[in-house]
Amino acid sequence: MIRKKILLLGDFSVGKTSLVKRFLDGTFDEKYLTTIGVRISKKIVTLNEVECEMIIWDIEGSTPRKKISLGYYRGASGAIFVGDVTRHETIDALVHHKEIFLSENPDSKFVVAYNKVDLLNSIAKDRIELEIENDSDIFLTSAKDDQNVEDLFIKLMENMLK
Amino acid sequence: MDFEARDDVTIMKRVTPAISKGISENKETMIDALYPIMGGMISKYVTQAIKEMMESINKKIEQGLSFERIKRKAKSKLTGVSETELLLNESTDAVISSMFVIHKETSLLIAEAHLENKEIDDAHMVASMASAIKDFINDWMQHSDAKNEVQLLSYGNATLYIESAGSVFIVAFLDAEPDHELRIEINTFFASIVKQYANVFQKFDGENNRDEIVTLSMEMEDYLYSQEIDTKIEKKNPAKVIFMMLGFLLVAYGVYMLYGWYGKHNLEQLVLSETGEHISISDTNKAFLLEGQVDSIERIYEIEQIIKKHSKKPIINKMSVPLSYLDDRFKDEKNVGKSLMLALEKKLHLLEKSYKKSLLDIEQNSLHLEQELNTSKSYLSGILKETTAELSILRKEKKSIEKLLDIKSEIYKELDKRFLNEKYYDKEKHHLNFKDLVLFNAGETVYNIDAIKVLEGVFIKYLSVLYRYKDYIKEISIEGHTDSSGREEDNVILSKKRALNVKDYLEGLKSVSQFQMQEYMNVKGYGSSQRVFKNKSEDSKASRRIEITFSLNDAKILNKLGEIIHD
Repeated sequence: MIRKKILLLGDFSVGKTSLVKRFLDGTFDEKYLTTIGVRISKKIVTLNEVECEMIIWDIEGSTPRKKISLGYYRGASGAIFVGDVTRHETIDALVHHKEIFLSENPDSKFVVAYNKVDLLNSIAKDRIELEIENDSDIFLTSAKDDQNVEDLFIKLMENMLK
Repeated sequence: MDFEARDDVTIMKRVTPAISKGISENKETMIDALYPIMGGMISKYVTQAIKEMMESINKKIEQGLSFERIKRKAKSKLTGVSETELLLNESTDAVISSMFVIHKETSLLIAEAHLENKEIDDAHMVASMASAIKDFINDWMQHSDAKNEVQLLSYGNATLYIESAGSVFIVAFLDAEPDHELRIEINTFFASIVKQYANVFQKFDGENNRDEIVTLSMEMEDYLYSQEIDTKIEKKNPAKVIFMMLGFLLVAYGVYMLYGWYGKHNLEQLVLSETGEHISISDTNKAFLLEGQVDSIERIYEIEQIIKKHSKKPIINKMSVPLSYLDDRFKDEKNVGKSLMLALEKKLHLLEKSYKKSLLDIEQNSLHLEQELNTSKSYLSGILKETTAELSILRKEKKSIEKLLDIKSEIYKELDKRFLNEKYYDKEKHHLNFKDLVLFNAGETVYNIDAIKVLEGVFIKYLSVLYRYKDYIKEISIEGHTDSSGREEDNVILSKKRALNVKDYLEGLKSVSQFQMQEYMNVKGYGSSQRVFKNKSEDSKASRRIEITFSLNDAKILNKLGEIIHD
């Protein structure tokens, strides 16, 4: 079996952990909640008859008072950058997260989740969909309504196995 | 007695099932009810067991008399820990229950091995967690200027021993802290597998079903079972151990944050005292983040300089200035900009004026230059024509001079050509010599008529050549010669008479007069002074002869040259 380390990166409260929980179908084990800035879980997915175990590192959003160890970024084959569509600053901050991630893992793959899309009205959602329609690596997700969560992780896996 | 015994049996038969049923239906209640009694009993038995063990150890201490005992005694006195407890610690053997080999870069588990019944659930997640904890602590240590990596994580009796090498690190899960000897043993084993599987580790891509990795896992398992296990290993889930570490980590993290706070607080105070500005400084992993509002942009630079003076850490500057300041600054800049613009416009106007004048000057100058160029061209053309003409004249003059200078040779060449086979032409002297023509009999001055006819023909031919060079001829001499017989004075007269007779004859000829060169002709009498010899004897016949020569007029030639040069 192939194992890949993937990271979830984004600001505080953008819904990274909720996305992981949703992806794991409720098998999320709270015993691994930590205070060292990362929470690790795993899921086995089968893609094109290839079985692959994703070791998911849910990295806590950093703050000026709490910094995340760069060692967590090291050796990741892929990353999911998560932003909250209702807070533009979290979307803007994704550039910074990408910079840090790619500086450690220049050849790694990534996808982007514009999360909490359930909180948008249809007009705002249409507008964002229009903005991202040419980028197949950006997903409008909702952990609450289970929108595109599975697709998000699968797309990342596809990118990594290319 | 029988009755009482029968009653006891009957009661037991009824009470026992009732108690069993009661326990099964109300476990919690029964436990609560029994705990004070059971707990007391357990406590009593455990205390008793420990007491017996302590007594046994004390006995051992009392009976033992060795260097180790003296050392232990001293340590007990120094540390305040009882000798019994020290002995108890010494008697504890650390046992490795599990072992992981983890890929350093990806934190993925490459290989694992466990003692029987000590398997770790979610080994891959535990490996990742161990890796994360290690990174977290290492990161903190580096911030604290320490260079070493974390090697030991302990909480209670659970210990994780971590050793790094190359692209992997090993994690050994133990039930006690490993002593120096055991660490060396683990390191030796680790070194052996790193050496053996270095290639596999370096190429690890997350796939751990490879034959080499299966073999490695077996080797690790063999190593675990090779340990001498004297004590029963308490089952302990390493994942739980990790979470017990968290308490320690929290404290460590608190210290780290306090350190960071102290550093940045100091800088904040420094900035306040030097600039009077309240700003917030956050210590990120890579840089100081500066936030807050200050009076002016210059203050921002000033604050940056203060911080750079006290720390080499990079700075992320997010400080701001009041909008009113920016507004004032913008107005000032706008005014300055306007003034500059006005000055620039003036300068531009002057430049434009200067440019136009320069353009006009250039046009005028170029016209003037064109005119001058045309004049020069025509002047040069005239000079060229004149020069060409002069050159042509000079060439002609040169030819003339050459001709003049070489006139004698030219005449000689013409004569030689004309008298190629003439017996009366002397090729060396280029004159006519009639020694073989019997023109006069001895002592006579009258010429033989036949002979003079011969002379006439040759002379006219000679004269026709000289006629072409008439301007340069000085004279044509008809010279008379005699033999040596008689007196020389007479001979001279005789020779002159003979020459004169010949001259008269020739001058009388129409063919001669047509050349109009009679004035050049003169006579000379040499007597016998130039008589002819043949075989060393005088040839009288040949001596009685006429010779005709010519000479050039050098003065005329020089005058002609002077004229050419003068012209």
